[in-house]
Amino acid sequence: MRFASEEILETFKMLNVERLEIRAVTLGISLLDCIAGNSRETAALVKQKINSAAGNLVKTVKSVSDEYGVRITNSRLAVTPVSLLLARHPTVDSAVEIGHALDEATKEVGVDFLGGFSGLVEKGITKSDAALMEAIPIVLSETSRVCSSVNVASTRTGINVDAINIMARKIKETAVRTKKDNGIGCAKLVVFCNAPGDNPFMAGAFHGVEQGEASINVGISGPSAIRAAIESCQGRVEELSDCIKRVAFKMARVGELIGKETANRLGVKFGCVDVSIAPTTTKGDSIVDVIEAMGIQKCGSPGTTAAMAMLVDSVKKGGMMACTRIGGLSGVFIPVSEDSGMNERISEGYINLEKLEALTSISSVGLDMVCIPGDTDESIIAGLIADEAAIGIVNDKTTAVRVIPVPGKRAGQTVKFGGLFGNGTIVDVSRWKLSNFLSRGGQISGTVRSAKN
Amino acid sequence: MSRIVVTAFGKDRTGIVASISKALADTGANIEDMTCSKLGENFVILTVCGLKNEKSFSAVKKAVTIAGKKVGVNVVVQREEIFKGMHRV
Repeated sequence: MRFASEEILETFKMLNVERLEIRAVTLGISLLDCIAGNSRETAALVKQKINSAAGNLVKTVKSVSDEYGVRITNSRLAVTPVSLLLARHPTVDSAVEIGHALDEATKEVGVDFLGGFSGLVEKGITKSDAALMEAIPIVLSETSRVCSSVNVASTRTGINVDAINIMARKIKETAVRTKKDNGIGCAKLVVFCNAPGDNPFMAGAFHGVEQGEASINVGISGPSAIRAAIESCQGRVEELSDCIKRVAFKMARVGELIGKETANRLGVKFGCVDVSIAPTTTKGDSIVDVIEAMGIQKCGSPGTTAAMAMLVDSVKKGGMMACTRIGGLSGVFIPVSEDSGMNERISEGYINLEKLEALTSISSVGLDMVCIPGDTDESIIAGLIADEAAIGIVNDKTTAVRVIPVPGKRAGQTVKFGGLFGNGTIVDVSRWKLSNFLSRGGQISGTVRSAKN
Repeated sequence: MSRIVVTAFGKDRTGIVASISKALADTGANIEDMTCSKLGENFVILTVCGLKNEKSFSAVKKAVTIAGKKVGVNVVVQREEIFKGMHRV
C-alpha cells in the first residue's frame, strides 16, 4: 500500500473526529494603487480592486476544501492599513466613506470579515492616522464586516502613550455606539504592540506594506487534535512535548498544503502558515482542555503558565519543521469569550485579569475578547493597553488588547454575543484610576532591546 | 497523473466492494492499491486510485458517494497530497 492503513485512518480521525481544520484562509490585498485625489474616487477604486482580486476566493477555497477533505471554517480578507489610503484626503468623512466601501465590497465577494481599517502609530500620528482613529467607532458601529486595529507600540520605537490614550477613548466610544448589541463593536477592534503584517486571524489582520501585491496566509486550528495526542501520552514532560510537536507538524503541513494550493489557484503568492492553536466556541475545542489534559487540574492555577509555555514552544517547533514559512502570530490564542472552557474557568474564579496578563508573556496575543464592566474608566483601559504594550516591547513579541466594556454590565455578570464571538463573563478590573501617569502623554522609548545593531 | 484516496466505511453487507469498484471503473479511476477489512460489524475500504485526468475528480467523487449511499457506507474522497503532507517528511 502506498500509505499504511494506519496513516489513512489517522488522517481520517484527525480531520473528522478530532476536528482538525483550517480556521482561516486569508487573502491579503495591497490597496496602495487605489489612492486617489478624493475619497469618492479612492472608495470606488477600493471596491473595484477587492471585487477583482477576491471575486473567486470563496469558490476557490470551497473547491480546495472539497478535494482535500479538510474543513476550512473561514475565508477572510486583509487589506493595506487604511490610514495610508487617506494621505491625500485625511478627514474623518473620508475614512468613514472608505470603511463603508470596504464593508460593501466584502459583502459582494461573500466574505464575513475584512481586516485592515488600521493605522500604525507606534512612533507618531499623521493627519491620516488621526482621522482613521476618530472614525473607528463610527465605522465599527455602522458596518458589520470591517475589523480595525491600531499598532501603538513596537520593540524598536517604544510605546506611543498619546495613541494609547486616544484608543482607550475610542474603545469606550465604540462600546457605547454598539450598546444595543452589548458593545460588540469592540470585538472588531484590536490595539497592538509589534503587529505583524501577515496575520490571517481577525480582528487584527491587515496586509502589511512589506507583503507585496497579494498573498494567502493560513491559520490552523485544532485544540482537540492536540488534546487527543496529549491524552495518549503518559510519559515525562519531554515526551509530552515530542507528542505535541508531532501533531503540530501534521497540522501545519495541512495548513501549508491548503495555503499553497489556494494561492496557486488564485494566482497569488503563498505567504505563511500561522501555527497558532486557535480555540472555537465548540465544547471540547478549548485551550483549557489542552492545559488540563497536560495535568493541570484547573486551568489558571499554579503551573498553568509553565504548561502553556511548553505547549506554545512545542507547537512552534513542530510547525517550523513542517512549513517553508511560519508567520503571523504563531502561538496560542486565548480569546476568552470565544473559548467556552476559558470563560467557564473565569466564572469559577480560577482565572482573572492578572493571570490573563501573565499568560500574555508566553502566548499570543494578550487580553483578547475580555469583557470588562461598562463603566470602566478610559484611563484604566489605557493602563491595560500600556501594560500589554510594555510586555510586548520588553519581550520583543506581539501583544494586544481587545477588551469589551459591556454597557450596563458589572463584574460577575454574563453577556451573550452568540456566533463566533461566544459568551462572556465580565471580569473584575481595578477601580483605581491612573490619575497622572499616562495622562502626561508622550512616548515611552524603546528598551535596550531596541538598540540591537 | 494525480491520485486520490477513497475511504469507505459502514455496516458490513454484500456488494460494498462491487458497488464502489464499479463507480470507480465507470468514471475511469484506476485502482492501484486496495485494502478491505471487516472491523466488528463494520466494513472498511481504503483504496488509492489514479485519475483519468485532472478534471475527473468531481465526477469520481460524485459517483462513489452515490454508490456508497446505495450500499449504506460513507465515502470520503481526498487527493493523495494530504496524506503525503501529513505522513512523509
